[in-house]
Amino acid sequence: MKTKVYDLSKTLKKYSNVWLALDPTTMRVVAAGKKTESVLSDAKRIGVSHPVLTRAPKDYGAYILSIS
Amino acid sequence: MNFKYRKFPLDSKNSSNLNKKFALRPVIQIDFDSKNGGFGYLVLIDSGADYCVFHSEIGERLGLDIRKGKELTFYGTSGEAQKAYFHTIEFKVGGIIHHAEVAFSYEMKKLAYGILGQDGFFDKWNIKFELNKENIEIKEIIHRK
Repeated sequence: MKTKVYDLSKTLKKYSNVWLALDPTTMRVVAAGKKTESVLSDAKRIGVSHPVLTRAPKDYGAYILSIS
Repeated sequence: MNFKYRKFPLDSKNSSNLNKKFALRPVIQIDFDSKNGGFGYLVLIDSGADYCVFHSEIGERLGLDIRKGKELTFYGTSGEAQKAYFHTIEFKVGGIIHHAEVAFSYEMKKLAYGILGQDGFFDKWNIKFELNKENIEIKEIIHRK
């Protein structure tokens, strides 16, 4: 199955501490806001029927995760 | 099925390499169905995580009463205790329906994605990380009777 590489490094850098709705095909930001409910409804209102949610953190630091 | 690593913003001043402009991470899209079309959510495949942990806001969108779930106290690398609440949910991975116990946390605002950990994900899928190819191969574990 051929898959596409999504480069979100420039797109997401413009946002901080908000929820984002992305277009599932292009991965472009179609809505942004503090609440997932409004972000999803804004995306659906402009015709994106299955938006993809992610958060823009306050800072883009390095991730070293481990949860136990 | 195969997924590609995704490139995310990185503060080059906060990196071992000042020329590094992005971070490559094993982040995939999972999908939730609902009557109004559902939505996707980006999640990090994290072999160092014992459990799957998602933002509480995602649970709220799924109609869960988050705090009614079984409480989990978990620790990240800072060693600080955090709370989350387990619920059994359904989502799709590459179009395949997946059921898992997922803990929902109100203390994940600093993280961009949900986390797929050992219980609930690695116990059901074999995952091969190929950073040099920017590829993640995921195969469902079939339990034969």
